[in-house]
Amino acid sequence: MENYIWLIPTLPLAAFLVTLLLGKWFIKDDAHWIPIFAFGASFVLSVIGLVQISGHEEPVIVNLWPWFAVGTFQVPISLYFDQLAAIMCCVVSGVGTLIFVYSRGYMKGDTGYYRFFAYLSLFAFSMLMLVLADNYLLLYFGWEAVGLCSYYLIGFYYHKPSAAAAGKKAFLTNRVGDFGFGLGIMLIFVTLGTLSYTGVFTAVENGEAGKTALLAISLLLFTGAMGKSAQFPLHVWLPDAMEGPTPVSALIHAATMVTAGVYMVARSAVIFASAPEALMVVGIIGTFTALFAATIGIAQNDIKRVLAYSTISQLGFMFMALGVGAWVAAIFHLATHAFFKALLFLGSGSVIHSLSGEQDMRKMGALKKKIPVTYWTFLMGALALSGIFPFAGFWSKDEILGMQWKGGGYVIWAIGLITAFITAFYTFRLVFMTFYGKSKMDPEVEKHVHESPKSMTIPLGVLAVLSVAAGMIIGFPPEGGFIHRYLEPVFGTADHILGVHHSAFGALDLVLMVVSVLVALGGIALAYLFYIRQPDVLPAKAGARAGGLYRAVYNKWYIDEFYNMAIINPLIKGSQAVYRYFDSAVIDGFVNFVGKLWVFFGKMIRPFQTGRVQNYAMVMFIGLFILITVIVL
Amino acid sequence: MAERIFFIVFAGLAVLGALGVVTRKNIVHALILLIFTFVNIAAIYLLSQAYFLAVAQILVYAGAILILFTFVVMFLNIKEYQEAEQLHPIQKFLVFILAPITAAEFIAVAVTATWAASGGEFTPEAIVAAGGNVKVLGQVLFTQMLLPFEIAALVLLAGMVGAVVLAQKEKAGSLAQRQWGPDEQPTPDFMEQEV
Amino acid sequence: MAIPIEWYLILSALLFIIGAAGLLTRRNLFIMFFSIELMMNAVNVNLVGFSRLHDNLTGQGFVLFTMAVAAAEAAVGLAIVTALYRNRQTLMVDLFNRMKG
Repeated sequence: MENYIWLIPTLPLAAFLVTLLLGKWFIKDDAHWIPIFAFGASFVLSVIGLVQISGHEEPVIVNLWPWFAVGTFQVPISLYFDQLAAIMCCVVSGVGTLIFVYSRGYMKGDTGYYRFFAYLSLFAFSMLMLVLADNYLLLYFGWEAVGLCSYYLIGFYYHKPSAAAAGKKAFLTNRVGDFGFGLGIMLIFVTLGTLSYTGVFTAVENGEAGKTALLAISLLLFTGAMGKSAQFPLHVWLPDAMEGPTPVSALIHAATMVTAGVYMVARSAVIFASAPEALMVVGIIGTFTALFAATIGIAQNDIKRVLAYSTISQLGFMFMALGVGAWVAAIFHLATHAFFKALLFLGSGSVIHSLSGEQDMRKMGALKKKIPVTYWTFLMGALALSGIFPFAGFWSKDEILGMQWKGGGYVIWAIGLITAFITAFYTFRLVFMTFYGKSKMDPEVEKHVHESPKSMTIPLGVLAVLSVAAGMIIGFPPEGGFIHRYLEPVFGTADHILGVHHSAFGALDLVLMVVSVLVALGGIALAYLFYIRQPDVLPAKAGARAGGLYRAVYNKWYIDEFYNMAIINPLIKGSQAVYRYFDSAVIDGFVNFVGKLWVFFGKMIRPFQTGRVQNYAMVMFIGLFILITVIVL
Repeated sequence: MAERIFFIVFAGLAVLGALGVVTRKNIVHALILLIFTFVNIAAIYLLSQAYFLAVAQILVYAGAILILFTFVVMFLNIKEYQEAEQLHPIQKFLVFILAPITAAEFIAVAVTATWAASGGEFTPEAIVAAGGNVKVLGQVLFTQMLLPFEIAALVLLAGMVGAVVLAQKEKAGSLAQRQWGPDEQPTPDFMEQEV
Repeated sequence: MAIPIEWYLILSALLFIIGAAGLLTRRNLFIMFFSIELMMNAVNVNLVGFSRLHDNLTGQGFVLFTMAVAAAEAAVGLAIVTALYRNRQTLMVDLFNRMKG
């Protein structure tokens, strides 16, 4: 296994280099072949690895070469392959390859075609490095690299000012989180003396770190996760990131990059388990974010924005699970969410493609018969997202809620249930507004509505199958399914520290399942009422009745405005003030003063140059006089 | 004894003449007084048995250089020399202070130092025995001091050429297109043209 | 009796200082030239005096050279005077201050 693990990240890296360097002149419109081939090969190798490492108690560590070797600071470039890494690699490369194929159809004809695939390949490499890293520094490298690729890809249409601004916003918000993350890593090194996973986890198990240190480390690591996985209050970049092309939104902001935070917390389960207060914080923030983002999703009109807020909300679910120690549930939901959210994004991209670029749902409608493949696959994804039995989302979401109840967090369970209701509501609001009802399309656009090409519809189909079946296959029965047994060696220590033990499937679980399905169906029914039965009356009336609440939700609870007012504007005004009062006045003043000083000296000496020979002769004579006087005396 | 008296007389006359040169307002007067001074200095050379030099002084200095001066003075026909010829106030003040002090210092050094004579071979008797000052000077000039002699000749040549070039009348269309009066300053644009 | 060397030196000093004073004080260019000639003659007197003291004819030879140089310098200087007068119509030296700065 050691022989081929290193190929998993390096194949996309090679694809990136080749596509970037040769893309403009040689490859051009065929730029998709090499990245698809490379990433697909990574997927195959990941699957092989997945199979081979099943049941291993210890991870496989492949040391590639030393990176930092300075005294006690030893950080090699090495890969850590265990069951968790295997699952992540498969999800990333599998969904990624499908999205690469989809991009062939979606981005066809774009001027930056080869650049797009180059960046996608670079992202693939970064994400795989993140997942396969053996130590926190290499993880941080992958972390930053995916942030960088996100910036590139969000601002892909760099001529558009909104896209460039969105890319900047994403990167800066990420940086805020990464600042905490970096501090956390430094703290790990200072407290435990090592950065490699095995070293850190063993040291924490043996109790080498104090309680406060562990709490601090956990919280700092979580701030990084907050930034990368768009939790409140660092969630502001994800909706704006929808400026990027749809495949980017699907890959980075649904399936893979934003899940890096979840992965990191799951990987550091030992550390978090040793600091229960930090876990509580994780859970609370996750829960709050889930509800918060769901409320905003109700009122959005851009099809991609709804999905963006849905992503934030679902990530909140994953952190909710982590907060109660349900590591496997979180990873399970990560995988299923990758499937159906990527499907939904790609489907929305297909809709947008058919409508020649229209993204506003108020200008859609009655597309069910016109683009059937897109409709049916989209419906599968929507059902999975809403948590309807037996789709994939049902199993993972239900397990999360079940773990909450069993862990004693009844309030969190209730909030989760409400959020599930809202999720179902806005998801089917999306479906009904887009595919059902009267056509509100522009006549010009309506003429050109067409089904997407095969390169786009085939990935949709594959993902739809996964959304339907994957949950059942790998997660049934809850807490005893394939995925739980598979990941047991990874989380055994953390569970032991936390004192969690898994109970078998029982009557309680069945009751909870029924409750969540009913709630989801209720959400769908409400959406049906609003948008199919009385689409012209009810939404408007409800909006008017809610008044201020509706406005707040529509404006994303004014968070961006608040940040602008509290942070950004003061910073800008502050730097302007510094520029005017310090830089211009003091520093420039000093430099100018030095210059003026010499001018002044020059002006003082100028009168000596009278231009008259006699004056010069006089000076000479005075010199002679002084000389003589000195000699005589 | 007689030598000394003669020396004092000639030296005094020379000094008086020099004073006159620097104080006369009339240029021609100053010129004549300068010739007078030079003749007196030539006499002093005679007293010092530097006969060749005495004659050379009269021939070259009084007879050539100063005649050249005379020619130019007459040629240029300065009309204003009788008016507005004042001494600089500040410089006048400084000079009146420093010059006598410097002179006093020179004289102090001259008088207080001991001047030892290193005996050379050209004592007056030896010179007379060798054929006279001119002959001996000529021999020394053309043997020991040949190189400076030739170079002096070259210097004279260069001076001649330079003088001819500098004093040429300018052709029409050359740089100096106009002339300025005594108190005029050239206009800025003209100054730029020249550069 | 031979003339004491100090007398030569005193004469030379006086002539030199008078010449320097004239150079520095007078505004007329011609008078400045005369003063310069006066200074050079003072130097010559000095040389002759020392030549006599040391019984060495090198001093007298040097005097010849200074005379030659003075002649050349007078010629060139007068050519400059001529050119100046043609341009500025004046010989008042303190009006020649174009190099002021």
